[in-house]
Amino acid sequence: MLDDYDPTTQQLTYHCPNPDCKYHNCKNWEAFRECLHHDAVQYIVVQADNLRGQDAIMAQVSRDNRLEGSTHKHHISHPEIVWVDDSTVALPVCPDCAERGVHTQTFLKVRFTEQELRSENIRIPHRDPTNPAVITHFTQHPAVERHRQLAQDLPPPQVALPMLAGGTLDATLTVINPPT
Amino acid sequence: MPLITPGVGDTTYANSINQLVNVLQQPPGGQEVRRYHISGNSYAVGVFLTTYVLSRSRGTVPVSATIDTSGAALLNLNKPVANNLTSAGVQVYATSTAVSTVCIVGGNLTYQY
Repeated sequence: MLDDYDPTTQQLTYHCPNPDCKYHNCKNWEAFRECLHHDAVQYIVVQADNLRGQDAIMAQVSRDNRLEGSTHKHHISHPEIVWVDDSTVALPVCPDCAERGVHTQTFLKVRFTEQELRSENIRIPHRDPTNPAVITHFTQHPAVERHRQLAQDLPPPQVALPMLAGGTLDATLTVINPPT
Repeated sequence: MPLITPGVGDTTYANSINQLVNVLQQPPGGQEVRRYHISGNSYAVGVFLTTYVLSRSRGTVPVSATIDTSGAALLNLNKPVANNLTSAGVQVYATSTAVSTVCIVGGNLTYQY
């Protein structure tokens, strides 16, 4: 997903999810994002003095192993930032992964239906800290607006590819060997 | 990241349950890694080979997906494309670069929620 998109300068930034890549940079991801490769479970012993019974071992997620890396920064005019269907935009191929012979590329969902905007990961509930059972308000996933803004600033898709699920047929068909 | 197995008789905290919920229903910022593999033959240049990669998470929509070719390097195919991201999964396809009996590509597909 995009870490940032500035509509004024039309610069976008993002990172590579591959753990061996110098553009991985999970240490500087936004707080809400997890890293499958570097987040780890950490065990903490809670002493009996702080509890009513015996010592307890609790598990929590540690982010201590996260890596610092570089950030992909591109202008919207980059030739590899293109539509691949009417709701998806491709970002440039990761050059560091390519040096290691792995072709890595990220694709953004830039258009969301009303139903998708109500999904559990898109509409984020915020709870009352004094009473976590109460939801005080909802906010939207931060990437949604960035991706939408990017789509708005990109030239509209020119070709709708046939055969793609969800796509539309917009091509001139040529009849080969027409019946006589 | 591994899941924690609560021991028999342990107090079960919300975190213990939510680690499972977060697999079945990814939270904002969550990630899910799947594998994809495309192989086939091509009778002409530009033949379209495709697969569909289901996500494990239900009721959530990925905001992006990243694919790599770490499983099988590109052979007689153009770079693969992921498109049509929905709550069910994503389509991955590649077009052939030559007439060949062997067209292959494969690797990781990382959903970002």
